Amino acid sequence: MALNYTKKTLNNFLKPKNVGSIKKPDGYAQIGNMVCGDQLDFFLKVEKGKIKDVKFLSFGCASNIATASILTEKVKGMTIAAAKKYNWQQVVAELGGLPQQKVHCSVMAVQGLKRAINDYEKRESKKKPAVKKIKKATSKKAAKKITKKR
Amino acid sequence: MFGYVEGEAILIDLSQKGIYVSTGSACSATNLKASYVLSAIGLEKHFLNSNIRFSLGRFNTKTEIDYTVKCLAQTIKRLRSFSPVEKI
Repeated sequence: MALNYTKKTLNNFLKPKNVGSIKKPDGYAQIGNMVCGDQLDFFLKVEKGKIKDVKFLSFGCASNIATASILTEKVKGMTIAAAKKYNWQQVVAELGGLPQQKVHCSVMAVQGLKRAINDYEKRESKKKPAVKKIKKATSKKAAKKITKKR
Repeated sequence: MFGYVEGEAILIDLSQKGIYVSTGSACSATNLKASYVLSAIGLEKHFLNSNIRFSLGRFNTKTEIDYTVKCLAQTIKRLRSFSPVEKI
């Protein structure tokens, strides 16, 4: 049973962009697993609300690698809000179509990226209260100092 | 068995070099399930999607086999270079 991949899909599989990992990423997610036969890891670096860098690692078929490659190419430089809206239909269209039994690869890639963004947002929301706590602590210390002086 | 690399990726990569292999028997060509034969002979679950099958005929030559071995090494090296799976 031959699978008809488009030229663009094959090119993205043979020379994938953005492969590798990022040390100390701002967001990270893993989707799928080896037993199912596909796994993707996404790494994000975010600056001023924009995706500064994005990389992926793949254990999967040709379309798994190709969809992750094209997706990372597309969302690089996007705002987080815009990247969240990027959907699998756009990935498929960008590749000029995917064989029907391989469409799930694009869905998985988009989900994986969204999880990495979620992870980034979680980390961000945790950072903010931490800052407040420090402020409170310092103010308490300052208050103690003041009371000691008295 | 080529751990940490998925079978279909090997298949497509090799096909670009003029080598045609398969990821399973012809009778299971339409399903994407892992081979029950490989699982029956005791292959671990996480290696069940990392296999290809080479079929040889009487007209295959040594040159072709040498070429295949050379290409296969390149293919596996390339695909493993961005595999997320921790080496066990």
